[in-house]
Amino acid sequence: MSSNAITVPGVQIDEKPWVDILHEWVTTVDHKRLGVLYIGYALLFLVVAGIEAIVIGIQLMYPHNDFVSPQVFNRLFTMHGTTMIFFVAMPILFGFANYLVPLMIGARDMAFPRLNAFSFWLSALGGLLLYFSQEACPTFR
Amino acid sequence: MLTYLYLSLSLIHAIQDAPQPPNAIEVTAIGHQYWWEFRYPKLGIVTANELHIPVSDPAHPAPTFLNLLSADTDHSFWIPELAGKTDLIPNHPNRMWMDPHHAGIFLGQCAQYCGVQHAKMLLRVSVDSREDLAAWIRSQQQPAVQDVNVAAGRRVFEGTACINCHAVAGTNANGRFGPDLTHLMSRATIASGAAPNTPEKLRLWIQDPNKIKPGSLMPAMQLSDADVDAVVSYMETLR
Repeated sequence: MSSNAITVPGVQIDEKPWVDILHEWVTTVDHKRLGVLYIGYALLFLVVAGIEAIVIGIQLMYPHNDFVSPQVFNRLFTMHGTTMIFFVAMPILFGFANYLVPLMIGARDMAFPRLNAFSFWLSALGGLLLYFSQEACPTFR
Repeated sequence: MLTYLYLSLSLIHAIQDAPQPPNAIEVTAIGHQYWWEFRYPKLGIVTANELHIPVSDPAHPAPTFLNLLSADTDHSFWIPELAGKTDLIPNHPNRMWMDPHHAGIFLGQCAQYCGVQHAKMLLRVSVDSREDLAAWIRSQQQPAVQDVNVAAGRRVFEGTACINCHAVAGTNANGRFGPDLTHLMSRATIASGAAPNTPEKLRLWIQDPNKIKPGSLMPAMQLSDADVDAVVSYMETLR
């Protein structure tokens, strides 16, 4: 119960605890919410890929720089490329499509809402798995 | 649309199917991780990393035609001042030509990621006048200099695994995995441009290649200091 809530006498407005809000977002099958989730997830990976690009840029700033080793540089540009295509560009596209296409064609939702939700979470897991593999094997040459 | 198509196709045809004038030099370039092998098949020359080609005159063109092959993975031959990038693709010979009108040294590099030392796989092309090129060809066609003063170094070279990878014409060494060392001292750089060809750098390279090019495929042979000195003096005679 927030102490800043405006109280109207005679009306009880219960604020939802954050756990419930989180639960709503995690279990949603609504295409609009999934669209937002896709875009949020793409922006998160945009930041990660952007950091990789910045490190690449620092390494390439002047000749014979040794900010990162050749092996790390290899991983950096590989991950930057993969992340940008599969975890930024494509999810942004799917996010917009999920949000807008049902609205544009006058449908109530996607044809298979739960499959839609499953697809999102599977793709999110894929992104996490890729970065987990980077961290789990740091000495792979 | 059809005009553009015709113009594009005729330009591509003019470049790809350019006829080979009689003065043209043929070079086979083979890309390795992380060095360049250059062979002049009609002249019987095998060298590495530094290419010598004739300067061409529009009235009497002497272009250089290159056959590009790869020993392992993708590379790309790129001398910005002479020609565009042409890839060296395994099992896919590519052909390109260069027609330089000015003599001089032109630097280039590998332009397709091929592994950890892709950045240090540099190219050095010396466009020579006809006389200079003829002199270079003559000296490259000679077998290796046999200097008795460096017999100890030559023994170390032939006794350790050096000859498994390197070749020195006129001796037992005929390995093809690494660069041909017959005329090592005629080159301005070692390790495909990664270091200048000085005795100190050569010594460091032989002692531990990973100090200059970490990830290069030449192993550190764990030679004693005396052995390294002997091998370096032997290498210094290979003019």
